Amino acid sequence: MHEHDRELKEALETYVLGADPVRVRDGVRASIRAEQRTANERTPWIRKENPMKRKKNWTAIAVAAALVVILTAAVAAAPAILNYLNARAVQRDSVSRLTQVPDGWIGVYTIEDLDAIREDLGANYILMADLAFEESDFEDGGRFAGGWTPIGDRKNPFFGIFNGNGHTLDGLVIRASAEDVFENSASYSSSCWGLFGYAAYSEYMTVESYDQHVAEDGLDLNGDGIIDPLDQYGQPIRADAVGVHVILDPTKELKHWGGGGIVKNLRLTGGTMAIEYAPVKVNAPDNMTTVSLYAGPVAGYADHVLGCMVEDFSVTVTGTGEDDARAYAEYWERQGFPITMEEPYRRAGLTMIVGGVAGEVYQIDSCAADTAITVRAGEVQTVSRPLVGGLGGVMAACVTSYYDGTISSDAGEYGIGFIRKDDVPRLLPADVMDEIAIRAAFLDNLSYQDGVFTGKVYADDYEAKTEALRKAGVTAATLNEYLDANGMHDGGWQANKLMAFYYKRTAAEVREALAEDTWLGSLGAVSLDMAQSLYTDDINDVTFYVLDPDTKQREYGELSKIISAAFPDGDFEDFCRENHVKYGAYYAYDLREDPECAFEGFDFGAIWTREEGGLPVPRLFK
Amino acid sequence: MYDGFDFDAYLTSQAAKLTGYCAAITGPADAEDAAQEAFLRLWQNLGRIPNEAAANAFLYKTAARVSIDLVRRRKRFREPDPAPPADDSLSSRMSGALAALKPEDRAVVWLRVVEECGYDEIARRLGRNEAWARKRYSLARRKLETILAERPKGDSPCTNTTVN
Repeated sequence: MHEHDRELKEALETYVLGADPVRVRDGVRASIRAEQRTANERTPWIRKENPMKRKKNWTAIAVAAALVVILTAAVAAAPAILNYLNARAVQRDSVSRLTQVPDGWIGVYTIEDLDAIREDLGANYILMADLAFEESDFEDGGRFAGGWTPIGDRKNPFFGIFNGNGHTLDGLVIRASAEDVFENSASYSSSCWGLFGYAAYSEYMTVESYDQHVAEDGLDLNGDGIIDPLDQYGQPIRADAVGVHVILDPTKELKHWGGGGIVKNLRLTGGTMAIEYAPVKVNAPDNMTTVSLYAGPVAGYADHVLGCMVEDFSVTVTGTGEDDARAYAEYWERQGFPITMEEPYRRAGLTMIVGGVAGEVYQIDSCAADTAITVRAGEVQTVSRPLVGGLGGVMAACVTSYYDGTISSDAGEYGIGFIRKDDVPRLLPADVMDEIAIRAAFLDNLSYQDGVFTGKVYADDYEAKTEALRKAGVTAATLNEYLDANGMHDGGWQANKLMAFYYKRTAAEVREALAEDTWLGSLGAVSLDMAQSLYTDDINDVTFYVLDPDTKQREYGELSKIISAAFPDGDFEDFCRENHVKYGAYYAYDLREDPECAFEGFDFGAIWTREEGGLPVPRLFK
Repeated sequence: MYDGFDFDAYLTSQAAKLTGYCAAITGPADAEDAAQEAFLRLWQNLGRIPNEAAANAFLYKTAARVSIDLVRRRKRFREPDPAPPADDSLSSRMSGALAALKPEDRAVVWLRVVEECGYDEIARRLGRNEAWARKRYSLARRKLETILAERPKGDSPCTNTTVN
């Protein structure tokens, strides 16, 4: 062995002195004995369920016993943790249902209750029973003749939380003709189809009737309803302005309130979705309008879909003919748009986003689907964005999820789905943000080429400088102070730009705002449910940074450049995984490609179970 | 697990190695908890583990995850452990340098240096690929070298502290 290695080995062995392996061995033996005792007391139902298990060796009994212990613990802890079920994807307390409606939630006991959600799109709902549609419901004269109308659309989104509570909704039928799709695209640009059409927390931030005034040290930034730290003044608000506050104008109407856009713990079975779509490009006087189609069983668009399962469900999207496209153009004419229409069908800017769980979704976590997806773009020759995926058409984050269905698409497919690379994390724990800010402090000349964001390290002694920042205990919030004090005036530009879009908050502050009915927009529009869904650890004791929900897509691109340049070679996704931040795609599997998937890398057994050769099933649904 | 697998014998044979490994990541205070948790999870999952090699991989990967979680939790919820008394000995300085590494890097260094694992084995045990293991080890060694090179004031030059 090399001399240096010997020294290091000795140092390592010294370093670990004090940990006693005998105590470990004895502790493990004692724990196993305790679990076996528990198992012996509780095994009758296991034997009744599967007598063959008795013939197995003791390890099989032990596995069953461990399951009993886990289940028992989960049930005992249920009321406290259920709101976060499955959002905590790698935790083990994700396996039981609520039997009572929690305070502040609305129980959904019938299909009529489900249908009534559209009357109050901002409340939180919890499903309290398995529900089944009849085929006759969707026939002429039925209560949903022609098919289910999605809850919420882009103009009036569902912005509460829907907790399926481990229950099943069976036999949902969604049908839409090309004309239906046109009429559904109320915001001129998108048509969303699923149980929920459009479920988004941040939509209320774009309400036109709001004026926001962001003040910082006497600097009054009076926006026109949009906080835009980059463009309005040509320079970013500095990181030490993270304490910006928003002054509300009480004369304006608050239309949407809440930190929702979450659908979780719901199983959809035996449903069908059949959408016809005639793409068209309409040239209106001052804008060009195309329709984007978002389709998925749970939602056309949703911010968060967590712990949901879609079984025995088919989704079919079909491009139809020119007549339909022309009808669409006429539809817009009837709406008062003096349109001109140029080769409306074959050269249309078609955006078709289809997923086995949801069309477009910011985050899919702990979901499974065997959806049969069929996409026929038809005669359309220019399909600009055919985004078809087993879990989501487009996603920013897809973790601990599985797809094992079939996809037949003449417009291509992206496996589990297309992961959006130019998005940014909406919530980051403070220590993670500290590391990003430090890494970004000396970056410059960022660019985007061939689908990759690249950057140049501004300071030649970048590594030494960033290491010095770490050693000095510099955080994102104190970065400027440190740089100024140490004469590093050129550093921090990119970090400041990034930080200008994030609010630093504690869970306590969010809770306080909720309790006081404060407009959450001023806190970065985050609910604890959402925070929990984006970060695995217990959120209560974590200080985190929340992305300003008003951040625009092109600004995402700017911020994404900074992050990507700070973490070259795709390291950011690794960094997120290591820090339990749910961003990017990891632990998500296309089982069509890897049927022998070993489910390594996280604690699969905590919330999942899988029968031989079958789709993984969240324990919640067993 | 295959017939004839003796978990208790396996526990006895692996306890010292795994405890040391966990201690390298967490420090001695939390190592026993982490090692116990890893053994218990292995025991709970024996039904889907086909052989001893798979058991090793599962055990070490789980131990790393549990240990790193413990370190993060401690970092988040507790004050840092008090620094050891100042001591200019190589061993003490080396310990200080190790403490400055990321927990996962300490795991890599432990596997490479103490258990003399190849990069493929390190990758398998940590659920990563070989390139990752090689890169982390290289970075960790470089970092140790940098830290050890920063001699305290008054320290005389020492020719044998360089880490490759």
